[in-house]
Order: sequence, then C-alpha cells, then structure tokens
Amino acid sequence: MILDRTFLLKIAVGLALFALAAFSAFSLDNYQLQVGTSLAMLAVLCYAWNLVGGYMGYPSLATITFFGIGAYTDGIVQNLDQAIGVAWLAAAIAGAAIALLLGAALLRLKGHYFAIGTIATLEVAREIANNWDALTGGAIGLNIPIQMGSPEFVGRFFFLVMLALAVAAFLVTVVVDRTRFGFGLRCIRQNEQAASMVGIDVVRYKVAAFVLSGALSAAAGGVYASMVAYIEPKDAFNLVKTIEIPVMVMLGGMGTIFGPLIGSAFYVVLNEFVWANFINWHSGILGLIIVGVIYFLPGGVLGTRWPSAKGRMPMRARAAQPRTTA
Amino acid sequence: MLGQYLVNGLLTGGLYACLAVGFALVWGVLNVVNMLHGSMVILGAYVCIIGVQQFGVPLYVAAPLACIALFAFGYAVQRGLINRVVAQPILITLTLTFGLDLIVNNLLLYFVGATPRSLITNFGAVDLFGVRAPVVRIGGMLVAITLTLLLYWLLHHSKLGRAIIAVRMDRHAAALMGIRIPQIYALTFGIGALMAGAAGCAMALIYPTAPMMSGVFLGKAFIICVLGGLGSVPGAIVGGLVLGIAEGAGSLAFGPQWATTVGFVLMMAVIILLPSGLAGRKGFE
Amino acid sequence: MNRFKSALAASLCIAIGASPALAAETLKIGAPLALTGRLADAGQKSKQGYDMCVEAVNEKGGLEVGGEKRMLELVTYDYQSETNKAIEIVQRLVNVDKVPFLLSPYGSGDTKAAGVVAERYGVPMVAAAAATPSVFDQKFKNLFGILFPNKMITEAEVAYYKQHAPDAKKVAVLALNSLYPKGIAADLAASAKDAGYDVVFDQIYSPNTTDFSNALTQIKSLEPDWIYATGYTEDLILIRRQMADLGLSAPIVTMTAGPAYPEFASNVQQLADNVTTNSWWHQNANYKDDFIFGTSQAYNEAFNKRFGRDATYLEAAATASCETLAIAVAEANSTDGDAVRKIMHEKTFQTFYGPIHFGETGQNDYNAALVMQIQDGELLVLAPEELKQGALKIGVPPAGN
Repeated sequence: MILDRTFLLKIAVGLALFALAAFSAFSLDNYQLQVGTSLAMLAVLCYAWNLVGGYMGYPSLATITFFGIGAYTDGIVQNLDQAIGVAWLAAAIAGAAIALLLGAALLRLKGHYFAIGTIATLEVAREIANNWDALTGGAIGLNIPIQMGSPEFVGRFFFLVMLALAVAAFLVTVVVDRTRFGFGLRCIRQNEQAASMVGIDVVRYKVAAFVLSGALSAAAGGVYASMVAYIEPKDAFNLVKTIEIPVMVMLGGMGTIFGPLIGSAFYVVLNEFVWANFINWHSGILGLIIVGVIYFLPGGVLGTRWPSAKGRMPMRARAAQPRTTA
Repeated sequence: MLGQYLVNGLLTGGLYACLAVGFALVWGVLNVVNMLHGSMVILGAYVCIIGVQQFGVPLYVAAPLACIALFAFGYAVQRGLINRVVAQPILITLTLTFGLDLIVNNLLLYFVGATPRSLITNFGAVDLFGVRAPVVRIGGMLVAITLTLLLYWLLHHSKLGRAIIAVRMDRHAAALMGIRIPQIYALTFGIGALMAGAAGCAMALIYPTAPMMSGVFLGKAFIICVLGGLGSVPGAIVGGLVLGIAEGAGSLAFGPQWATTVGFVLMMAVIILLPSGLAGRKGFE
Repeated sequence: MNRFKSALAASLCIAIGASPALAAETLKIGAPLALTGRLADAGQKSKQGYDMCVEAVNEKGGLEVGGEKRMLELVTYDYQSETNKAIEIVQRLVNVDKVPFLLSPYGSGDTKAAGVVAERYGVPMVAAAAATPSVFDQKFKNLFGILFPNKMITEAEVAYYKQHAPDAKKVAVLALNSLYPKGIAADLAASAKDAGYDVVFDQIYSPNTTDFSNALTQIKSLEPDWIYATGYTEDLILIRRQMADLGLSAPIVTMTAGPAYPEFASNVQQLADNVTTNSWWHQNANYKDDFIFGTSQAYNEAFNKRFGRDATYLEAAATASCETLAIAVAEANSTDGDAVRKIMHEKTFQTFYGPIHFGETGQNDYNAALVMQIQDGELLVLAPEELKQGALKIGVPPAGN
C-alpha cells in the first residue's frame, strides 16, 4: 500500500465523517434516520459501482441486479429462521457468486455492449423473481420477519448497520485505490491491451473487481430487505435506480475515494429538497439538475475529469477529438 | 394455426422495427445511447392524437406534422445540448439524455395527463386462408420498412447521406474534409427524432398512449438494436422481426409470463456470442 | 472538504426546515400519492377521492374533537410509484409532519410495504385500493382495507354467469403477473372450478407486455365461452383490440377493472360493448350516508360537479377511506391512535360507499359485489338483483365494424 501524508489525512477525514454520522444517530429523529439510512445505502451502492465503473472504466448497470439478489437472499434465509446476521452474510455471498458467474461472461464485453449486457441481467433477474413463485413468492412478494423494537430503536439499528456497511465500502475503496490491484484496474481503464502486456492478469482483475462490487451491492440489498420487511420484484430490481447510481458517482467524481460519498449525498439532498417542495415537477427538476451538472460540473463535484487525459481539454477542442471507444 | 402465429410475430416485429430505426441511426452515427427516444415516440404520438382529436386535422396531415415537429425538436436538442458533450464517454451522453428524458416526460405528464388516449381508426383486418392480419399493423410494418428504405437511400445517394456516413466511419477525417460535424450530428439526431415521431403516430393507432409507456418503447428499441447489430439501420428491421417472433414463440413455449424475458435473454446471448448482431452487420464500434 | 461540509449542513437544514409550521387546529391525514410513474393515473384519481372527503368534512365545519372544531388537512407527497419511496414518505409523514393517521399508497404491494412502517409506529392507515387478502395476511393492527376481498367478487360473478348464461362451460383466464391481478385471477379460476366450469386456459403475462396476439390465438383455438382478463387498463384496452384483430369473440368477456373506468370505453369505443366487469361500488347502489354527502348518488353528483365526470369505485373507495377515519375520530372524540383504532375495528360504518366493517384482518368483510356490463356505451349494473339496471347481453362484437 502506498500511503502519503495527504492520503492518510483523507482517510482520517473520511473516518471522522463516518464517526460523526454514527454519533449523530442518537440525536436524529426517525425521519432523519430514514434519510440517513437511504443515503448510507446509496453510498454503499455508489462505492460498489465505483470499483467497476470508476476505477476499471466498465459502465456497469448491474448494481441493482446484485442489490435485488441480496434482498431476496436475505428474505429467503430469514424465512428459514436464520439469524439476521447470517442472512446478510448469505446475501453478500450470493451476490459475489452470481457476480462471478455473470462477470466471467459479461466482462469480455466493452463499452456499450457491456452496459447493455449488464442492464439485461436486471430485467432477467426481475422476471425470474416475478415467476419463481415457490422461492420468491413471485409477484405476491415476500414477507420477511419484522424486526422487533420501538421505531426509534429499529431506525437507529438499521442506520448504524447501513453506515457500517458504508464504512466497509469506503475502506475497501481506500485499499483498492492504494494497492497494485487498484493500479491494475486503472491500467485496464486506460488501455486494456497495454495492461495485459505489462503483466497484469486482466481477466482476474476484472472479475475480482466485479465480484467485490457484487458482494457489496448484495449486502446493501440484504440489509434493505430486513429493514422494509416486505419485498417484491419491481422494488428489489428497480430499473431507474440502476441508472441513478452511476449518475450519482458522476456527480461526485468517478474513480476517487470520496466521489461516491459526495455524489450520493448531493443526490439525496437535492432529491429530498426537490420532491418535498415541487410535488408535480420533481422528476423534471431532477432532470434539469442532471443536465446542469453535466455542463457545469463535468468532472463531478471533486473536479477530477474522466478519462483524465481528455477531460482537461476545453469543450470545443474535445468535440473535435476522435471518438474513444468509451 | 402456425401461420397465424408467424403472422402475429411478424406484424408485431414490424411495429418494433418502426420503434427502433431512429434509435439505431442515432446510436450508429453519434455513438449516443439516446435515453430520450421513448419519450420522443410518445411526443410524436401525442402530436398526432391532439392534432386529430382537438384540431380535427386528418391523420395524413397530422403524421407529417408530427414528423416535422419532432425533427425540429431533435435538431434543437442536439444542436443546443448534446453536441457539446457528444465526444464524451457513453456514460456522459447516456446520463444527459436520461436527464432530458426526465424533463420531457414530466412535461408530458403535466400537459397531457396520465390517462391513456388513442387514435381510433377502424381499418379492419385481412383474412387469408384463416390467417388474420389487422390492416393497421400491416400499415405500421410498411411504415417501418418504407422509412428504413428511404433512410437507406438517403444515406447512400445524397450528399447529406454521404456526409453522415463519412462522419460515422471516421469523424476526424470527415472534419478534415471540410464536413461540419456539429451540423451533421444535429441533422442526424433530427432525422432520428423524425423517425420516432413517425413511429409515435403508428403507435397511437395501435396502443393506448400514456407518458409512462416511454420506458417500454425504449426497452424494445434497446433489444432490437442489439439483435440487429448496434447502430445498424437495416439491422433494426431484422432485429424487430426477430424479437416479434421470439416473444411470440416464448409466449407459446413457456407461457405469456416469460415472453418479454425471452427478448432479454436473447439479447444477452447475442451480445455475448455474436456481438455484431444477428444481421452480421458491423455497426458502429 | 468545505464543500462537503456545507452539503452535509444543507442536508440537515433541508430535512429540518422543510416541515411546515404546525397549524394548531387542523387534523392532519398523511397520504403518499403515486402522482408520477407507472401508477400515475390511479394515483391522481385517488387524490380526487381524498379531496372530496376533506372538502366535504371541512364544508360542514370540520370534526368536533374534545370540544374543538378541527378541520381536516391532507398532507401529500408523490411517491413516484416506487415502493422504497413510499416507505420513506410514510416515515416522513409520521416523523416530520406528525400526522396521526395515514391513507395508504395506491398499489397492493406498496400498501403492504407501507403497512409495515405504519404498524411499527402504531399509526392507523386505511387502504383504499388493496383488495388482495395477502396484503392483510400479517394481521397488522393498524392496516385497514376498504375494498372487500377478491374472492367475494369472483364468487358473485361465477354465480351470476352460472345462472344467466347456463350454456357456458369453458373459461379462459389471462392475468397480469402483479400482486392484485394475479390474486383475483387465481380466485376466479378457483371459484369457476368449484362451480363446475372447465378452466381451459389459465396464464399470467409479464408487466410491459406489448403484444397479446399469440396468447389470444391460443385462447381462440380453445373456443372458450367465457374469457376473463385482468391487468392494467392499458393492457386490457390492447387485449380487447387484439381480440377484434384476431376475430376472437366469446359469449362472455369479462375484464377487471378497466371497463369500470371511462377511459376503457373511450379507447376501444364500440368494442367496449357487452364487455362485463365487476366493481366494488357504483352510485346506483344508493346507500345512505348521514355523515357526508347523504347518499351514493349525491356523492356522485358532487363528484361530477367538481371533476366533470362520474366517480368510479376507485375514487369512492378513496373518499370512503378518509371518511371512516373521520367518523372514527369524531366518535372517539379524540385523535388518540388507540381510541380510534378500537372504533375502527369494532364499528360498522354506514357510508355512501356502503357498509364498511373492518374484520379481523382489517379488510372490509361486508360483501357488496357488483356485476356490471357496458351496453351501448353505458356501464350498467347486472347484479345484485335489487340494483339491476339491465339484463346480461351475450356476445361481444367480434370485430370493430
């Protein structure tokens, strides 16, 4: 691991922020806890996506596929009278296993092909959940044992669990960012052939990143399912969310350790503000914000542009550049 | 019975092709996955519906009007917005068009409401040896094929078309040859939108139209383009017909609950095994 | 980092600052609405139903609670037809807006997920649009459903057709793979089998299906006497049109719940003729209501005056869900959850919607199922006998003209 002082400082700031959030759990009201839990969940998903989409440069739209698989695994395992922690672990393992299988097939694709291949996994997974009545309850949905306790207790409990998961995702990102693994992923993003020539085992690196991403997303799905205590296919495998996740990371900055956090926070805050105040216009306003960010913050809030070499050119010059394979 | 199933699949496939041609063109030339496409189809459908129902314009006037309106819309959107980021990685353009889609769909919802509307026409059906084919669907299929042929002709036999193809093959070289890239892009996007408008009018005759249909239409366009070869315009026809027949066959073989899944599974199989599509035409990339 | 901190600060400000000032005398009722997204149409109709109730109660001076007159105030947010958003909004309504009572989101699935939250907080929630018993299968103490169970509807239908179309033997069932349609289709198939019908086709179709031609061709080859289709109204419109395209007809064609809404007929025009449906409510079942509106027909007139069209069961159930809460609050003379819940569980409410009694599961168990048919563009009640407006017409037009 290569750690300089600035980076250590960054890690310290990150951990301090998470610690602050954890302490605030005891002063927030239930609604703020709910928003905080959503935010932490989105942060986990953004960190998970960032490994594949940010560091490795593969535009994955499968984040919510793994999230849904995690949610259903959690529900099924909890319904077998297993402890909640066992169910979450099972969710993460199921996510990793499916990511391994899908990754082996899909990671041979690039650019558009990869994006589309991954989005198809979501549609297929949702229809399987919709039709496999014996396992998932089909369209009727799946009841999951309700976590006992006062609303305050339950709210705090799930907030802290989700936050812990976000910390884990943050730390995973820190490790990836500073090790040979992350270096390899960045090389793959820049030029896959060159990466393989300098001795990086491209296939294993790509699959490893995908599996890591799948496990994190699925764990978030598992915790979510326990929290809501009832899941149905259209909620677990939500098409819009799978597109929103990359948008959030883009807002924050791709391939960075704070980008996913900032992006998800930014998105949640805006979303909260917009839908609470503009009941008929929130999706339009959200659209305006997305369009605005692309023009005015093209590299995300953190300002790191992607891909770094081209991003620094002025707009006009960039338009004349030959197209990258994206 | 088999004949009827085949005709069902082909006619539905024709409509699907109609949906996908504009999407394929934009994808092929601009390398932009246009998430706005579904809403543009709906927009075209509403121009037709409102023209006919509120202003009493006959359909054969309303449909060209919808095409012109959508062309202007598409040209403006590309010129004003997308051109500025068109060279960025697909995630940027995908996100941008996703944002635009949210805006357009919200506007549609606000101004036309969520209650489904449709153009009622009664052209009846043709009955040949016990196989029935509704005239309106035959019309939709013909529209798709005519538009594609026109587009094909335009691309290969006009100055504009050759410029578009040149840009598609190598933008850099085309720019050096003095082709004004942003202009070509805007025209291409405009034509793509025009196709969406035409498709919208056809859809308004067949489907009850509501703003939330846009996602369904977009999803179909996606699958068709993959099946036909990413960004290939003639491939869209092949992809549409294949999807129509595959969904129909899936419905018979596994039950209607699996029909739409068959499309997605087929898409995954094609993308992994035959990345240049069933038509074997190399599209862009 | 500064930017990040300010973003965090902003988030807290918004979360806290967005709560509107508490108005001392209004009684707040929280309602997550599906104003956008897949359920937008139904969501907007529910809102109209809620508004009818709130306006009527306030017009008569509000509710007398603890010696004070309390006006009703509906606190609404759009949950975008997304379940996770619905859950978040229920949390917001309870914690930020401090509503003592809730009206449920539209869909059956969304109702169930939101019901978990309501149960956790002990806030009574009335569902206007969930008829599937599985929504109520966890016996929540705080979830109440206005629509009586599917099974009552399907049994009424089967009994009616058994009597009035005794020649019909074969039934074909086609349903959307979603909580409510799948549930009612399963109940119908079961009721039909019990009554001696031969269920020759029983399939579900996936959401976003854009073509029914092969399923309908299959049905055509089976020559059923009764075709039963259920799903989104848009799907039913397409199914009806594709039936005509394929020349598929049957003595009885029943669709749920599309034909109960005016847009079904306006989107298929003459093809709507002789399509039968069912309903939980119709203004002609003229119930008396001493609390608001007076009678079902008066309700419909008021609705028509306000929105320019007749009310369907959907809006009526939405109005009734709010009305039962209001009656329970007035009777309890308190906004205390326990007191109101007790009355909700025990009382039989006499409303313009019909008698409402929330049974053991919380779902209304008072059966008032209606069998209906569109005849010459008019939606008429066929059964029960005492409300009958017309006799069953056999056969739907095989093609448009």
